[in-house]
Amino acid sequence: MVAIGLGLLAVSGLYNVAATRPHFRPVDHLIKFALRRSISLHSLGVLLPDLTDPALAQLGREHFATGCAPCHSQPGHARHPIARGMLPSPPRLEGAASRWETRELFWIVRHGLKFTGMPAWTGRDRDDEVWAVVAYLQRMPHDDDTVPAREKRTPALGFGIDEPSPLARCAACHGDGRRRPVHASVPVLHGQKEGYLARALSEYHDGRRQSGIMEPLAAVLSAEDIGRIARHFAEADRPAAVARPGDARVARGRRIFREGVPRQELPACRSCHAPETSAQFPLLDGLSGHYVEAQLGLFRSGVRSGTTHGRIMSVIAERLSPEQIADIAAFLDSGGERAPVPAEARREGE
Amino acid sequence: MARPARVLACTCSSAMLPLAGCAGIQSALVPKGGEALDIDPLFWTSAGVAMAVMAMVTILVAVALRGPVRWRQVLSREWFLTGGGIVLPIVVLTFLLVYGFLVMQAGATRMSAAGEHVVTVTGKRWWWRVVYRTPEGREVESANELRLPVGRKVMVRLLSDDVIHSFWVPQLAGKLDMIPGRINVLTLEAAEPGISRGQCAEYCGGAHALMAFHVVAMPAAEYDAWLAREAMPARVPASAEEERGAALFTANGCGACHTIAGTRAQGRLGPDLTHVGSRRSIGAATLPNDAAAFARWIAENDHIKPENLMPPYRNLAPDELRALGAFLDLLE
Repeated sequence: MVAIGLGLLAVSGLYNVAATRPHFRPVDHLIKFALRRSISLHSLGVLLPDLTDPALAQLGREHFATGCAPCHSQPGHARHPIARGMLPSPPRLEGAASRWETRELFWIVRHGLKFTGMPAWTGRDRDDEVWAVVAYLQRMPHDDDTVPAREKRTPALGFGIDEPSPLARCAACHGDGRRRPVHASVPVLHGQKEGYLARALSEYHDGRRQSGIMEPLAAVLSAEDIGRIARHFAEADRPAAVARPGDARVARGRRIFREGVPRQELPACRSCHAPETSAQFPLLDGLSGHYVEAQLGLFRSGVRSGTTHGRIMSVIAERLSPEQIADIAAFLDSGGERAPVPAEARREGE
Repeated sequence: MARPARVLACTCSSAMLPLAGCAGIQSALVPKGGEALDIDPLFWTSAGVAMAVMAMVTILVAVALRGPVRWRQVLSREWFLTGGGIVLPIVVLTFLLVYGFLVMQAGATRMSAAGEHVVTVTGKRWWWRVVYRTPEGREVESANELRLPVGRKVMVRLLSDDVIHSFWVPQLAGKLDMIPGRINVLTLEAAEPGISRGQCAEYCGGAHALMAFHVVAMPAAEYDAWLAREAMPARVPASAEEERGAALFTANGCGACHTIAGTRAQGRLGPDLTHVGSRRSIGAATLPNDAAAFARWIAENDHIKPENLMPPYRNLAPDELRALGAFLDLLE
């Protein structure tokens, strides 16, 4: 009987789906109950990483400002008038961390929610990026009531770049050459090869390279924008290497970088990653160990093997053990070839 | 054609089909040198004896089933059973065994005669590293092709540094395994100039079936001249197209794995390319050796020879691939 009744209701068209008409209260309760139960159940298998690093939350905040705030607003800002017309209304997220378990927040950001307008994370298999947003949600300040409503700004609608220049948006995460990038998972761009930078932005633009953070930003760029940004960073000086005392790990990484591992059919990194090789092959000196490890992991697991260049690197990365990846990451983190080499390593290389 | 006739025709023609495989540059039945020439009569003798025994047994069975009573009585005599069932096999098999020992021994005696001319072949996944030692003691590296001087005994040292491979040139010798940590020695001697083909004869992983090579036997004087040329550094690019190819070779990091003597490319992971243009094939006898094949191989090697260890360079534009192909093809 109930099924027939619901069927007739659907056929008749009497149920009003207008966003201007809220659900009947019992229907609203039922939907919200089902939603909470579904999120709770499906997020059960999620393993929590360490989210204590404030820099991770800072990266999450930068993405939130362009990727989430247009609908959800952000602390100290008003709700966008268009977002206010949505049903269900995108909730403000101050205090969301106390309403949801951490694993539930991750699951929602990663997968999105049907019928709500909440989209899934755009970078396929980039769960590592989702955690930055979760870290920010956990640390999100409560709305600042001292700012009078009249003076509150509204975040720009549209997932793009509202700053006067796209470069300001780049610098917010990647640093300005003197300031390091906001988090170790974000690469230094200054002094990188122009060809590589333009290719990376084009790959993000076309969705060939996966990133929930970079794809939306690159999607709105024109070919001229991409060329201008690539040129800007390529012409900048590479930030001075942070000289760190080299440990055994760095020495092993240096060896792999310079000589490869013949018995594993592994060529030396520097035979391609050097200033004099193709402009499409990026320089690696001074990249953070975190970034190097994460990207080699993406090559190994095939997430970054979708492009022609990524395919080359995937073939090589599959031959590396996790320990060797950590060694290479430690070496590059210590400044790579630009770092002062300890005396005993210099002798070894001769 | 009536049905039984057609069946007979079909059976006959499919029985003949394998015979087509008996000819050609990779056939043990067309021996062209050393050990293979010795093994050849052993094969035909064994095969002949086996067929004679088969014919004899078939006739005896037919007689035992259908023959005249007197013949059948003879078959059941004790002296016949002892003679045909014990004495005959012992005599025939002993003859074959001794004959076989004598023939196979030849390999060991020949080895002592060789020694001056040494080639080291290392089985790789999935190609062959070939290193010649010149009379002056210099080492000259090549790959995926073996050149032999006609009439000279050449000692071939067989190595592997990954998995077990097996070196087999059916027209010249029997097969011999290449085992990591061991040096197996085979003596080859080409009896006449010509080209034959060898193949890895021990399953060694993904691209095993496409791990082959050519053996080029040439008159001794020509061989000496060839080896002297082979020891020289690579030809310098002459045309603009070749120069562009050489620049692309460097820029794309090809030197990480490949050596071109006389240039900065000194990689040791893949085949030496110093004189690659003069070889008969590329990809270990997978593709012919021409500019178009080089271009195809660089971009599509993972489809041409699945699981081979070289990354596919599909990042290169068609004109870049053409330039690289032209450059490599002229490295003679």
